[in-house]
Amino acid sequence: MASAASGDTVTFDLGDSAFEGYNIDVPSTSVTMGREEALGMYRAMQEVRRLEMAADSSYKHKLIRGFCHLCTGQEAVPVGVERALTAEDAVITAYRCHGFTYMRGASAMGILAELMGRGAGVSKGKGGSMHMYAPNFYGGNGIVGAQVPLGAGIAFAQKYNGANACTVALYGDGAANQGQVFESYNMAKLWDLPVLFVCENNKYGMGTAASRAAANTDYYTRGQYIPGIRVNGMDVLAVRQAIAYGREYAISGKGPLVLEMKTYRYGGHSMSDPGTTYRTREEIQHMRSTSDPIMGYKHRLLENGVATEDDLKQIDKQAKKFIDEELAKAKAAPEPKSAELWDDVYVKGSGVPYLRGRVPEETHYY
Amino acid sequence: MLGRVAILGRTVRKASTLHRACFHAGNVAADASAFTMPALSPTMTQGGIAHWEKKEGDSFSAGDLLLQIETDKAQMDVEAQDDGVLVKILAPDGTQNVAVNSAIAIIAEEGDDISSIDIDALVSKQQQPAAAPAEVPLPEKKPQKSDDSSSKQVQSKDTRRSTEILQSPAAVFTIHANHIANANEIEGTGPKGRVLKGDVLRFLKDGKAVLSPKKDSTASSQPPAAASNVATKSPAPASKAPANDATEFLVQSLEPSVLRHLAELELAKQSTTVQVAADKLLKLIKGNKNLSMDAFVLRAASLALHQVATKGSNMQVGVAVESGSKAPVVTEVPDASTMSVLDLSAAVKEARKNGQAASETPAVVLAAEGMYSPSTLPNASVVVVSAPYAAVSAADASAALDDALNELIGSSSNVSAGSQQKKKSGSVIDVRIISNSPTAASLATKIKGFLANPELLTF
Repeated sequence: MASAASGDTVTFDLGDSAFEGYNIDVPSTSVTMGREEALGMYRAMQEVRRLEMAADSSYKHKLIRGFCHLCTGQEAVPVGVERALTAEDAVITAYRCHGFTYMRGASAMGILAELMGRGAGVSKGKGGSMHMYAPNFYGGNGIVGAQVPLGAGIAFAQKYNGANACTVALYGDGAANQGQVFESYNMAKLWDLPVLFVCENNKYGMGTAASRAAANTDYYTRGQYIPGIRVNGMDVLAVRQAIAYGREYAISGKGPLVLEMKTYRYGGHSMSDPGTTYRTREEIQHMRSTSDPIMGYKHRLLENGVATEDDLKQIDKQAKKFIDEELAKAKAAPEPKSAELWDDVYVKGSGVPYLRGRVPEETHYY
Repeated sequence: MLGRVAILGRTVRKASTLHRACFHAGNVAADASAFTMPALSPTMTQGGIAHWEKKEGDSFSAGDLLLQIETDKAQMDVEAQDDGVLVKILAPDGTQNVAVNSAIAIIAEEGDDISSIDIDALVSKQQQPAAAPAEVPLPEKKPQKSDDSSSKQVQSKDTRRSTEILQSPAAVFTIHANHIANANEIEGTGPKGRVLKGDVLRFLKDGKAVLSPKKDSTASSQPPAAASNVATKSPAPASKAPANDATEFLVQSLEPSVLRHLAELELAKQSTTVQVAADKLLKLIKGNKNLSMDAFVLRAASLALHQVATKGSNMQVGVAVESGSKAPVVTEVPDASTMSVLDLSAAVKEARKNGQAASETPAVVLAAEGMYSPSTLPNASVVVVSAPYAAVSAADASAALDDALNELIGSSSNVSAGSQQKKKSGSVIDVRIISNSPTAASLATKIKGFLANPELLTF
């Protein structure tokens, strides 16, 4: 665990268990970055954690209704992915998307307001938890595994347009068994599309353990003809390193990669799932105490002398305060007007003369 | 909540004074907050406290089980989201009917000075903010609330009463067929307060209907503004007594073809038809261009009237002339009994072209087929003469059938025999008198007699 916090840069050693390769050399386990960047990642993870906790408590106070899938415990993935990409790269994921939406540039107030169905939300209150978008972030998709072919398509467009960018298409361990994922693998490899297929393996597809759902739980090998890397998804630096490595690989024209992030969620699948019917509370507590991404990273920062205990506590407090303020703003935001229901259905200029509502009497004429 | 200091991982979890000595800034009491009853399912509004896992003063970490809550559906666990200390339990084990969002405990962060926490202030602070956000979105909610179907129905019912009664076509028909006079009292359960057929039937079954007598059925058949134009009479009699369980409801088709057929049946009930051998008549008419069938019929009718009708009653005859969509206009043809047939022909032609409507309906009106319907019949005997057709006797009919069969079977032996039986058949006309008068039958017979022997008319 050699550390070098000289001046403004710091070098971390990730350890040998960070990566496992399939038909590819694994990235280097030595990561160097600026001090500010390192602290920024801690702050980002803490903010995502608090954001999800705010969503959790709001849901329990009935301010948020409907679906709400939280990524508490998985914060390293959205933060690590974002910190390895540029603004030109595209990200698409499924419905556990609040962390990604935040990291891609949406405001916390916008996300919380969207969850509460307010007009100030990122989708003007009309989308909810599963339909959030941000610049170069394609949501927010409700159908399991549907976003993977879309991700391949985005990469196709990037290659077609000659953009020096890649697409990160994320899906879960449950979705990894979907047919269209393999169709996407085929097309991506055939045409060398710059897409990174990232499987967030949190060991449970809703309530089904991965071993009960998949014949091959080494999701990074499922690409068969596509090289893969398994990453410790609870280590934000490992995630960042793997994505950066993959991005280079993809953009250089070598084609797609399949990355598996081994991670864990503390909450249930969604707010209607207690999360304890298919796993024991001891298991959850064990993961919390041994593999928590924020705690682990804090440990690393302290060890490498990047920051002191107090600095980090300050960041914690600031993150809590920040999200509390954003939550208050979101709670005070008004709901959208009823007339706005009919807006934004079609791209401006390609609209229809009328749109049917729930029943024929509700037909809206533009 | 503050993160725990753990260099070697989480091993120590006891709340000890070691942590009290941690460096922390600011106002300790401000970090305490009221722990509220969570809604563990979207439909949960209240629950009972089953069992607190932690005691007052215990500290807990994120993910620890704090308490178990009993909802109407299940007993569920509540976990702590963050590290903290359970300062005070406000709702102890066994408390029932605790509303969601009400304070059930006070929690504080590790290392807070517990004695400085003002519990009442926290609890009241918890109640207040709950009201504020609800108010803000309320004005926006109002336009959405009006989409609520139940309130809309009440609204629409009130507005509808004053402006317009919406009735479905089936409901309109049922109202008419059952001669309901107080149709505006029927409660509609359809969309926008529309009255549906089921509503009308229920109305009748409950005995709330006031039925108008059958005589006024034509007058009462004024459809409400929104209904169709068809005002039909029910062939089956509607009950005049207030409806009881035994009331029969009409179910009838409104198809135009069916209605025409029903009209025809109605007319047929009131008609007398005679078949007149018309050979001589047709020969006369064919011979002279100025003679018309109408003239002969009118002459015959007029003369027959004189013979049949009582003295002093109306002896006039007239012609019904089509006038578009309205009922045929009856033009009187004066002196039909005394005019010669030639003059009568001319007079009829004249009447058809320029005739004024008769001030008083004549006793007999000559009409064409289909001119009148049961509702438009004038108060007269209407004579309708059919076109001539060949009279076919029973023998002729069987011979025709034999011929057809022979053709099919193809036996040549019977062909010659059948063909010899063909006779020249005579022409026949049907004279139909549509009338409620008791003298219609005798009138018909007289007319038949005259038309069969038209030389009687040519004087």
